[in-house]
Amino acid sequence: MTATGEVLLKVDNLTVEFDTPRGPVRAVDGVSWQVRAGETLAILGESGSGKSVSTQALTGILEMPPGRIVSGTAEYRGADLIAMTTKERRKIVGDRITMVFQDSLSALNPVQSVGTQIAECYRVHRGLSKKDALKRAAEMLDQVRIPAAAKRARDYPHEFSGGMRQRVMLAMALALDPDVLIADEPTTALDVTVQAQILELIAELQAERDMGVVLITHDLGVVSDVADNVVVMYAGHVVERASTAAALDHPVHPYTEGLLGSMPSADLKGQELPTIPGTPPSLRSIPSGCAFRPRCPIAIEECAHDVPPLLTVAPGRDAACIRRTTLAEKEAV
Amino acid sequence: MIRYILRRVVAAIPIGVIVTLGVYALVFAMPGDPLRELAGDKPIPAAVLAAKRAQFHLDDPFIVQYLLSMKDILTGNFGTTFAGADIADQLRLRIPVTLKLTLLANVFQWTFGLLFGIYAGFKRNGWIDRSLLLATLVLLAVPGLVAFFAAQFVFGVQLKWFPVSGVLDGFPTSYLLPSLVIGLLGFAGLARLMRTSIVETVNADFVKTARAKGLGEQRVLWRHILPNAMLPVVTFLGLDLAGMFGGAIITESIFNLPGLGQFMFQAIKLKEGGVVVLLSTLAFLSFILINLLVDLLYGILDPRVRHV
Amino acid sequence: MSDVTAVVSAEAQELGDGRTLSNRELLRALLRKPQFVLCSLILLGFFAMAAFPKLFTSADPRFCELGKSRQGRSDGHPFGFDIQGCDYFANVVYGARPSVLVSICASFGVFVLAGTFGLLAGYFPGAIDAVISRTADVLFSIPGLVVLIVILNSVPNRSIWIIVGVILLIGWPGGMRLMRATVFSVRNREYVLAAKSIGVPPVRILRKHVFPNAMAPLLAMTTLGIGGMVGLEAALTFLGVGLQPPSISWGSQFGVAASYRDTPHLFVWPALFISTMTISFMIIGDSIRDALDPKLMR
Repeated sequence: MTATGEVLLKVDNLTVEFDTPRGPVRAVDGVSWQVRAGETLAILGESGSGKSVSTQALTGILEMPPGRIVSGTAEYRGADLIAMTTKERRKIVGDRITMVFQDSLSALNPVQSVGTQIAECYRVHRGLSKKDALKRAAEMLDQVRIPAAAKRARDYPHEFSGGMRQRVMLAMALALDPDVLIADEPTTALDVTVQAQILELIAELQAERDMGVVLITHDLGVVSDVADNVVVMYAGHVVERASTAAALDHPVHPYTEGLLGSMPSADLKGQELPTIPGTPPSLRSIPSGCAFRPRCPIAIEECAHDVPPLLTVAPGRDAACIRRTTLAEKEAV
Repeated sequence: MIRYILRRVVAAIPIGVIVTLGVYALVFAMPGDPLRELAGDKPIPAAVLAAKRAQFHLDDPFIVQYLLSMKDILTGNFGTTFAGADIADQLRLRIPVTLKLTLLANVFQWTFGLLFGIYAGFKRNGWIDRSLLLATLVLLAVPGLVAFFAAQFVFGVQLKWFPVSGVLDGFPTSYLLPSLVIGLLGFAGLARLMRTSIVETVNADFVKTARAKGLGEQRVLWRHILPNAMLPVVTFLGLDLAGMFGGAIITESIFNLPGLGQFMFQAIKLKEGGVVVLLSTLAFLSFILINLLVDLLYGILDPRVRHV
Repeated sequence: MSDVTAVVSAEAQELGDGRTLSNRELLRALLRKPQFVLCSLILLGFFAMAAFPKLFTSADPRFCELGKSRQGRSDGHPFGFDIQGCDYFANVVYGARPSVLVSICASFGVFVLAGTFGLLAGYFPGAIDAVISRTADVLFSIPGLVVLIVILNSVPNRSIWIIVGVILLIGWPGGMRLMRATVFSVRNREYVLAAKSIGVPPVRILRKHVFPNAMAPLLAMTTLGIGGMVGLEAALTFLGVGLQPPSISWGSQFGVAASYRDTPHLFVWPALFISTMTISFMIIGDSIRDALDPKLMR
C-alpha cells in the first residue's frame, strides 16, 4: 500500500440521480473515495452498481439531463470539479484528468485517423501546430508500443485489432501526461492475454509518471493483480473500502465475501462454485435499509431499518454492515 | 479508385440495356398508330405516310427499331420528333430548364433542411424542434399536386408575387415559385433525417470520449458529431437527386415549364418511342452518375467503406 | 414519393432490433395517443364515405344543370357547383372511393410483395437474392413515375385495379431492400440458429421466427407511405393516365380546376379532403412507428 503520495482526486459524498418518466432514480448514493499520486484505486462492482456513473458525473461527461448531481464534491488538488464552470473544468478534465473507456471501437471517432484524434489533445490543450501535434501523436503511439507508430497514426480505428485499439485509447489519454487516469473497464472487451498486456502497460506508464489510476472494473482478478486499494460498490453505495490485500484476505462486508467466494480457483477444483444467491436489485426498487439484505446470508431484521453507514472497522478499512462493525466481530460470526 | 469506377460503369451496362429495352418494348406495345393519331382526323396522303414510316423505322421489327434507336442515341444523331422538331435543338433548350429548376430547388431544400435539421438535432425537445417535427410531418403528407396548385393560386394568381406559369420572366423569377415548393416539400424529409441522425450520433461513445478530452462544445459538434451524422444524409442525396426527374414531370406540367419532364410526358402521350427511350437513357445515365458520385463522396467521408 | 421512402427507411431501420409487441400491446400503446385516435376517426369517416357515399349526400353527383356551372355555394349545395353544374359536395364525397381503394390496396399489396421478396432475398443469399436484387436495381434506376405513365398510357381501359396492379409491379423494390437488410441482421440471431439446429424447415423458420422479428421497419414504412399512394393516384389521374371519366376522383377534379383558376372552390374542396386524408394517414403511421420504436418504450 503506497498511500504516501499527494491526494490528487478526492470524491466526497457524491450522489447522482437520473430523472426517468417514473420519477427519479438514485444511481450513486453518498459515495466517497480518494486517489493519491502513484496509487491504483479499483472501484469494484456489478453493472448498475453506479461505478461508472460516479466518474462520469465528476468529469462532467454524464448526460445531464437526465442525470443530475444531487450533492457532493470532487476535488482535484483542492478545486471542486463539480462546483466549477464547464469552461474551468475543461482545463482539468482532458488535460490533468483523462479517461479510457471499455469499447474502444465505439469510443474512437470512426471517421478520423487515430493520429488526428490524439493530436487533437495537443492542439486544444497545448495550442500546438497541426504538424507538431501529429508528430507528438506518433511518438505517443510508439510509447504505448504500437509497432510502426508513425505509419499507423494515419490509420483509422477500424483498421486496428481490439488490443491495439485499446493502446490507442491509452495513448490518447496519456498524451498530456495527466495526473489521474480514470480507466472505465479498460480490459473487459479484450482476450485474457491481451488484457494482461494492457494492464501491464498501464502499470508501467503509471510508474514512469507517478500518476494516480482509478480502475473501474467488475473483475476481481484484475483488482487483485493491479490495485493498491479497492472500493466495493453495491446498488449505488460504497459497501467496503480497504487496501486490496486486506480486502482479499479478510473481506468484511458479506457482499465482498460472496464475490471472493464465487471466484474460481485451483483449490476448489471438483467442487461446485459457490455463488451469491439472487440478483442485484433494480435501481428503481432498492430494498429498504441495506440493499444487499435479501441476498445476505447473515441478514437480520434490523438490516431493513436504516441504510448501514460506512464505518471504520479497522485502521484504513471501512465497511457498511451493521453485523460487522469491527474486524473482530467478523471473526466471531 | 479508377478500377472501382470502371467496375461500376461496366456493371451498369447490362442494367442500362435492360432498362432501355424494357422502356422501348412498353412504348412499342402501346396500341394505336402514332402517326395517324398525330394527324388527327385529316387524311394523310399514302406516300407521305409511307415516307414518315420509313423515316422512323416504324415498319421494322421491334428489335431492329430498338437497335436503330440505340445506334442513333450513341452516335448523337437524334433526328426529329414526329412533328418535325429537331430533337438535339429540343434538348439544348430543355435541359437547362430542368437543370435550373432542379438546382434551385435543391439549393432551397439543402439550405433549409440542413439548417433546421442540425438545429433541431442539437436543441431537441425544444419548441423549434417540436414544431419542426409536426411541420415536416404535414409537409411530407401533403400531396405534391395540392401543394403546387395551392402555391400557384395563392402566390401567383392572388398575390401576384410570382409569375403564374411559363418561363417568360427568365431565370430566376420564373423558377422561384416551383423550386420553392419542391424545396419545401423535400426539406421536410431532409430535416427529419438530419435530426434523427444527429440525435443518434450525440449518444455515441466517441462523443463521450471527445467530451472527456476536454473539448469545447463547438469542436465536439463540428469535428466529431457532424462528420458522422452526415453519412446517412449523403445516401439520401443520391436517392433524392435521382427522384427529381420523375417529380419534374408533374411540376413542369403544372407550371408549364418547357423542360425534360414535359418533353417526356408529351413523348409518351404521342407514343414517340425514340424520344422516350432517349430521355429514359438520359435519366438512367444521370442516375448512374449521381450514384457513383455519391458512393465516391461516401468513401471520402467514411474511411470504413473506402474503395481503394 | 421517393423522399418519403428514403426518410422513412432511415427512420425505420432501427426498428429491426425492436421487441416484437403483441397486437394488443401495440393497440393499447396507440390508443393512448390522442392524435392517433383523432386521425383514426377521421379516416373511418373517409372509409365510410368511400363505402357508402349516400350516407353523406343525397345529391346525385351526375345530376347536372349546365345553367349552374361554377356557381358558388347555395342552400343544399355547400360546395357549390362544378363546370357542368353538378353538385360539387356530392362529387367530392364520391371522389373518396378511388383514393381509399387505391391507397389501401396498393399499400397492402406492396407490403406483401416487398415483405415476401425481402424475406426470400435476405434469407436465401445466392441465386434467389441475385434475381430479386438485380430486378430491383433495374426498377430503381429509372424514375418510377415514368414507368407508371408509360405502362398506364398503353392500357386503354384503366380501372382502379389496373392502377393498383401497375403500382404493385414497380412499387416493391424500396420495401424489399429494407426488409432484406433487416432479415440480414436477424437471420444469424441465436433463436434462428437454434431453430435451424433442431431441424425446423426453412419456410417455418421464415414464418415463425424471421418475419415477426423483421417486419417492424417495413410496417412503419408502409403505413407512412399510404398517404403518398393517395397523392400518387391523384397525380396519375391528373396527368391523364389514371382513372378516366366518367369515374369521379379527386385527381380529375384537380385536372378540371387547373383550367378554371378563377373558380377556386373547384380546387379548394378536393384539396382539403385529400390533404386531411394524407395527413391523417401520416400521423397514424408516425404513431405506429413510435409505438414500435424500442428506444421510446419505457
